[in-house]
Amino acid sequence: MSPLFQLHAVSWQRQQHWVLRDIDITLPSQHIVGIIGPNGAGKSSLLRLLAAMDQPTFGHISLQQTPLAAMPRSELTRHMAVLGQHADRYTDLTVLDVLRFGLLPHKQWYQWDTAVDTAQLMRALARVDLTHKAQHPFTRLSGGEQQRVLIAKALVQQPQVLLLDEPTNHLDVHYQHQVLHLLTQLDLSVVISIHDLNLAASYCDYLVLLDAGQLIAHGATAEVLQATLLSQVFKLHVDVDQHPRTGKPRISMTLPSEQTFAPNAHACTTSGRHTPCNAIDQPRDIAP
Amino acid sequence: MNKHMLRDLDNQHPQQPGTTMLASLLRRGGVVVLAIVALCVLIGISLLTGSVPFTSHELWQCMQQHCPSAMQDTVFWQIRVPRVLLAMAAGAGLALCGALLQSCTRNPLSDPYLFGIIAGAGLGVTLVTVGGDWLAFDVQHFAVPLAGFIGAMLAIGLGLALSWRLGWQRLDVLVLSGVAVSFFLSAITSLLLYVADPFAANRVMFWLMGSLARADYQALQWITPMLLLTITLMWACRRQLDALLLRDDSARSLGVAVTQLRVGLLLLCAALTAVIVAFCGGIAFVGLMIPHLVRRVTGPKTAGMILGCSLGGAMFLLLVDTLARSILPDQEIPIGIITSAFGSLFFMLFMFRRHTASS
Repeated sequence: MSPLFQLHAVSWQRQQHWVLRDIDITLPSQHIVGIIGPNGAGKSSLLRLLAAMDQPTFGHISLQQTPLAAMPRSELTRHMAVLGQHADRYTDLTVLDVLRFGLLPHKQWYQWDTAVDTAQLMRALARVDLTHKAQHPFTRLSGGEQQRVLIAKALVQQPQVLLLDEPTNHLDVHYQHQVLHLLTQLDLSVVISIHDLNLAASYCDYLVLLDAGQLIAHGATAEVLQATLLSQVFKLHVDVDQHPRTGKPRISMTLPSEQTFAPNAHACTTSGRHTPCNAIDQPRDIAP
Repeated sequence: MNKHMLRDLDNQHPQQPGTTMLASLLRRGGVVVLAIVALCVLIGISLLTGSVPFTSHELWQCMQQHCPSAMQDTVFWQIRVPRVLLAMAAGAGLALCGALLQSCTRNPLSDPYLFGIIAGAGLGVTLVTVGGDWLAFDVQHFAVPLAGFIGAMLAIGLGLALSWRLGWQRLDVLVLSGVAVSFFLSAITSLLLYVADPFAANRVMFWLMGSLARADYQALQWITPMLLLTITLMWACRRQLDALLLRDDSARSLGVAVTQLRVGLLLLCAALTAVIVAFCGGIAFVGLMIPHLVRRVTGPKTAGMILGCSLGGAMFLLLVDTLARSILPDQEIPIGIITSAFGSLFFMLFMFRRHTASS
């Protein structure tokens, strides 16, 4: 198993908070690696460091044996493509316009877009099965189609590594599976952060479990998805069995009986629903 | 019929990308040809309009260096032609600056006024005009645009320093710093005008309202190279500018050096606006209105915006200058008044359309 990313004693402090601490890990290449954990665990932060959007406070990260800090941004963008969690503004742009952003790392300022480029864009669209939408306005596509277009844009970059932060957010169940299945077909090294443990179990080959900025476990999917481990991290009753059709781990979670809340009990309200205060997404301060 | 079946039905009539792209190119090409024809017509009308009348035959003779009289020759080559060229260059420059600032800040309301560039130029001109009586007339003629330029650069420098101190990455901080600097410098200008000699204050007020009456080839010598430099750099950075329309992180992940690009383009924009306002005074709304209109035709991509804003800005300011010279007999209206009137009407229409669309 050749290493993709190697992290040595990586810690990251942001705005006086330690968002990641002492992460020592090697991620394999040509696999789908999932980063899982509760809100505030540091999943997106770890992806930011892997994407070289930020530098770790301590430690260092290597991509295919080369230190990330030593790689110029122009070279990095030809090695890896990043899809963020937050939506970009693609107003008034067609699908092909959006895909053209993927050409940016390979183009000099004096070069025009050519027919070869358009053919490359169409090939990328074909891989996500959306050639018929090439001239459609991006914003009129469904959420799943938009995510597939963004993956096609990443493919235009011709990366060896694809980093995706919560790629299934805001998608309905059908599209969640469609997008993740697509990732398995790309023949690339993929690292995703993902909330849904059952999706992670179905599509990831390797998992990294984080909690409060610390590495709890990493390894093959079945090794990480252990009931006791998940129960400890997510503070829930966890049952893990085998999916009858796929044979992959299947996770069921329930709230422990002592943590069920009466309507007038102390609770925080998010999106109109009562939720335990400690379940609300808020930055966690980890003692250094 | 479930949701996925509906999606499949939607996919049954695929558009041919090549055909649609060709149709789109032809449509946009048609708009460009129309705009060039309209610009040529406006140039002709503008050359004919003014206190010294020209017939179209005389205009044709003058263009071939055979003006009927020496007076017409002087008016044509020393006043009309530089004025028309200056109107086109200034209009194109202000519209391009507006487009650049709106891309840089991802804020559709950004324009050179918002960043204090015009307030800074105004302060520089006011200082020289009000306090520069000791300067000889010919020196003052040169000192006014120079002071305007220095004032504009000072304003953008102050705005950048302030936003650097307060949180460089945040676009709202960048815009609000510009607004704060703009109000501060405008307050100093107002105070100076309040205590100044009324005659000098009157001259400054005329400058602040914008005019192309000072048009000469010297102004063009300053503005044209800056305009060409801006167009070249915008073209060279067109893909990076397009990427700036996304979030900063997304642009970075595509290899764009976001901060360096933003600062560089802000300084470029400040320099171009500074030379324009130094010679033409404060001309409001061109940088705000033209990019909005052009974007509706060309889409948001920079390559189309460069051509569209250059043509649109040149046409608009030429039209406004022609109106400024011809609305009142024997009197010229400051063009800033007309651009502001157009601009406010445009915004009312814009808001009504948005309101109608949203409801």
